[in-house]
Amino acid sequence: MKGSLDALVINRGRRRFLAGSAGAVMALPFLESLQHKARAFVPVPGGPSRLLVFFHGHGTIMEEFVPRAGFVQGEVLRPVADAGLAQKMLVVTGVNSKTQSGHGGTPSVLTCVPTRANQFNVTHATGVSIDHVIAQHMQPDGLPRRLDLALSDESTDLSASSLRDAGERVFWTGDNANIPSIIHAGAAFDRVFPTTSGEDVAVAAAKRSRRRSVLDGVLAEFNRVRTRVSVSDRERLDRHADAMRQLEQTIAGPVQGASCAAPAAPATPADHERAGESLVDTLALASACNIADVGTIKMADMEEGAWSHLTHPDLAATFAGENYHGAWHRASDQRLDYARRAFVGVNNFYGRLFARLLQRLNEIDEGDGTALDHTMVVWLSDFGHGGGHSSDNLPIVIAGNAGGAALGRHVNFADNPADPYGDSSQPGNHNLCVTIQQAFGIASDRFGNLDEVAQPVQPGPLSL
Amino acid sequence: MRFSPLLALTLAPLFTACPDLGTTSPPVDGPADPADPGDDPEPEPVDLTGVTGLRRLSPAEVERTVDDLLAEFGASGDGLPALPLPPPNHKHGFENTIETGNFSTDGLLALLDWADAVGDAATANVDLGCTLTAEFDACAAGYATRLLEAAWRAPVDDDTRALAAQTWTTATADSVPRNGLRALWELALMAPRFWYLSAETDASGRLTPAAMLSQLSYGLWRTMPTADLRARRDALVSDDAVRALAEEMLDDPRAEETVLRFHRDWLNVADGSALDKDPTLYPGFGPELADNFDIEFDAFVMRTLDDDAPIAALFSSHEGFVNRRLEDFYGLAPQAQSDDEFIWRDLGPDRAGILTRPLFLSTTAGRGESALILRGVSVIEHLLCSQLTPPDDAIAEALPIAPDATSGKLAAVADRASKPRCAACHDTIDPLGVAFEAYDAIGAHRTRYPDGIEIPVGGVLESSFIAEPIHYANAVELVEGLAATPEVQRCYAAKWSEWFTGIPPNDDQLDAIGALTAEQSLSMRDILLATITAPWFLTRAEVQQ
Repeated sequence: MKGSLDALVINRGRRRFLAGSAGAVMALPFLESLQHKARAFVPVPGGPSRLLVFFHGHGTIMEEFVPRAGFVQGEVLRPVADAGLAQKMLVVTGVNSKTQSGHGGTPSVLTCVPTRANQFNVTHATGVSIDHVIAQHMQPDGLPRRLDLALSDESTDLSASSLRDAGERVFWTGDNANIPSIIHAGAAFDRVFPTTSGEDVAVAAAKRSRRRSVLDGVLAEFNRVRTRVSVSDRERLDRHADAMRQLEQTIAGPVQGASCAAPAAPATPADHERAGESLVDTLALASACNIADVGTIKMADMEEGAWSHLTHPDLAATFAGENYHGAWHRASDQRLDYARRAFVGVNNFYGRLFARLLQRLNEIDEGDGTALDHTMVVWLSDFGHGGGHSSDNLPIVIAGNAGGAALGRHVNFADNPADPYGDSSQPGNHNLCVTIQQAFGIASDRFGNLDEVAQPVQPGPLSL
Repeated sequence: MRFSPLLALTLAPLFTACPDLGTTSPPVDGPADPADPGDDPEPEPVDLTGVTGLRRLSPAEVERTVDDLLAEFGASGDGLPALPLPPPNHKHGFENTIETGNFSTDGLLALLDWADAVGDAATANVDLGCTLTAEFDACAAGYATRLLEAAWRAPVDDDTRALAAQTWTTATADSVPRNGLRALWELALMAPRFWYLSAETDASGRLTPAAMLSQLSYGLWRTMPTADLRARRDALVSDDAVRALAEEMLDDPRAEETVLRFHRDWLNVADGSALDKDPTLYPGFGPELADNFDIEFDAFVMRTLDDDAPIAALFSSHEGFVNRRLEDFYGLAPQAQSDDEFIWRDLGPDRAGILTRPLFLSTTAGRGESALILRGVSVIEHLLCSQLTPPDDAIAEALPIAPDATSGKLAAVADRASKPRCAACHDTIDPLGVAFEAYDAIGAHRTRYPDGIEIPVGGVLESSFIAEPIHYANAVELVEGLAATPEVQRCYAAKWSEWFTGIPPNDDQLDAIGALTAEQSLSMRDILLATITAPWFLTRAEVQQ
């Protein structure tokens, strides 16, 4: 579905790309020198002015994630080194996800609050994830400005819905309020650069007016209906209405002239690798154009058909009679080394996309550094050792701007960061989130719930 | 409406996982007071009232509703953008459940674009029989009343008319009447009364006629009440009237579609087109055979409904609807004239009921080999209504991994049985799965694994899931034994109850369902009508304001 002028959440304060960037398909804007403009959010001196989260589910092959001596990268992060950006990242190991382990605990990784299961044993978070806390912090008087993308099995199937609850559910705006992701490169691009060409200004204004009146009416309806339902249903309706009010704010906001000229829309991706690249490019663009304060991209729903080209030829045998989840278990079995190598291939693909994201940001000169220097880019998974479904020893990278911490290093908190299980005395996801929030000027040394946890949690940031 | 504390209780699983290990169902009223162990607590009053909870329409229901709404207004949904909502995850039950996530602002923005597109399609060629102006006159008001009454599935009152007038007036400030029509459509499709199924009651706790009709229509047809149904709404004030209308609706093709959807969602059965099998292992498997699996599965379900057969037949009938290709698949002498002709035939001693149909068996399998554990879990979760808790990290790590498509799976079964923490669940799961090892990854019958090892399909099912043990020599005897148990019959009826109410029945309701299914041999139609006239469908607990 095409976006519209109104679909551009916020374009106030966007940077200006020089005209004529169309045709270079995402590349040209990154060649332009862009001036870092002041915005409402004032970063901590030397701190980041944007947050990007790169997430993949099911953990990794930790032996290939943990850097060797001399900060030599394994197969997973080798693409970052190959791009010459190893000195702009900090690899962090030995951090545990402490609220709840296993798949049921995934919603707690970035929320650090207990989960709740529905009658089908599917869990959801009961609070806000750190990314959204930052997004709200950066726009205290307005709508959080975020862009959420995912690469999924259906990223090349344009007949599927573009907005999906794809993959692991880690980003939350509140209790049971999961943030969906855009999975199609074209739809993501439209979201950042809504199609406005040919739309008459008067028509656009009339549409905005109509939508405002519609949303006024819808909100009035909420007020009527909420008086007739139970307390729990009323809370649910209120959450729905709150999101509707935010939408109304968005539409009511002034639509100013675009300060980032849209480059040419990306071509329809031929395969998942191209789709991933295009999504990453759009995420970088949205960030650099100040369209989004916070961006996320998830690697989701991996199944054999979409990914087998990335892996060892024996992958088909790996998956025989198994789904991706079962295959991960196999990958942990050293007797089945081909399966392990297969997943190294998949994780190396993640590394390539992550490196591309860093590279795109690093190509933008913002005067006092590159866009990457002003962005905190966090790589994270919900598990460490994928096969063991262990929530200990998570793979973490903080790239670009780590809130003042020196980059080009490996910081480790575990005896052996590649072990499936760490020690409960290691720091946790709560500390990672405190690190992030303090980098953005939220002084508190606590994040989430430190009491209802599977492993003891200490306040404070990671010692980086 | 009234609120019932039963809501919280019914969110718990009907049974706790692996009760043979010694775990039990959570106490309904919390643990007994240890300080007063001798007290004989007052028996809890039986409460069969339905739980109050807003159920949001599923994506499929929204799409069907919009199609019907557009048709009622002389428009078509062809070419509309896809509904920007995540598809339901059938792995976790029915799509029409009370438990769904919340909308995000981003999601609502996409929905607004979608509603805009629907409104555009609906108003492209409008013939109202009156002349629209920018004023909210009789012509516009008539249109608004018709639209909102259909979309919101309730009579339009003065407040709603005032709301429509206000929306219209703002939207037509540019003097373009069509903008008013489009605004009405966007209002209709974005409002809570479109998205949430009404469970409004009268003073006695009974669903109002409008709510009753909506619940019936979405339960049986998965769409909004048609204009014909709405014309009969006010008559729905007695149980007999509800039953009579339900009987009529059951005879409509839309009910057939619902029955088929229910059985596919219940058993988590994929469409044949989604099946992917290893062509080197199964050279005879292709789109045509997969399509035949679909046809046979659906025909088998519909025959159980149409014949008014006892529900046990769903699990034990040896009949199948086959063409020449399926006859070959089943190893039957040809009787069908061609691949285009389907006939009913006895499939022989290796097939009994829906669980031995190739569509179910292919779904519970990988590309190359059957999925032993998945089949066992399917029986426990779908036929016995028990939720199994996935293994925790330590157990998952200890679980032996089967070396692919061979009898090595049996060694893994033995290994799991030897490890108490694995055995706690797998002593129940694995014997069920092994019995179904008699069917390969496309559901063809076999007695040996590809490496020549015989499959030991016989056994005894002893579990607290069922009252009496089942001795079986093969999967057919197992499913026939299961079909005869009161637990399976009760579970099947409980699943229909969940389908209609969006939530699993609570303990009292489950007891009532169990009493009903134990008393008599019910057909699918009996169960549907009994569910629709049950107190937990007709009434709702008081709302706590």
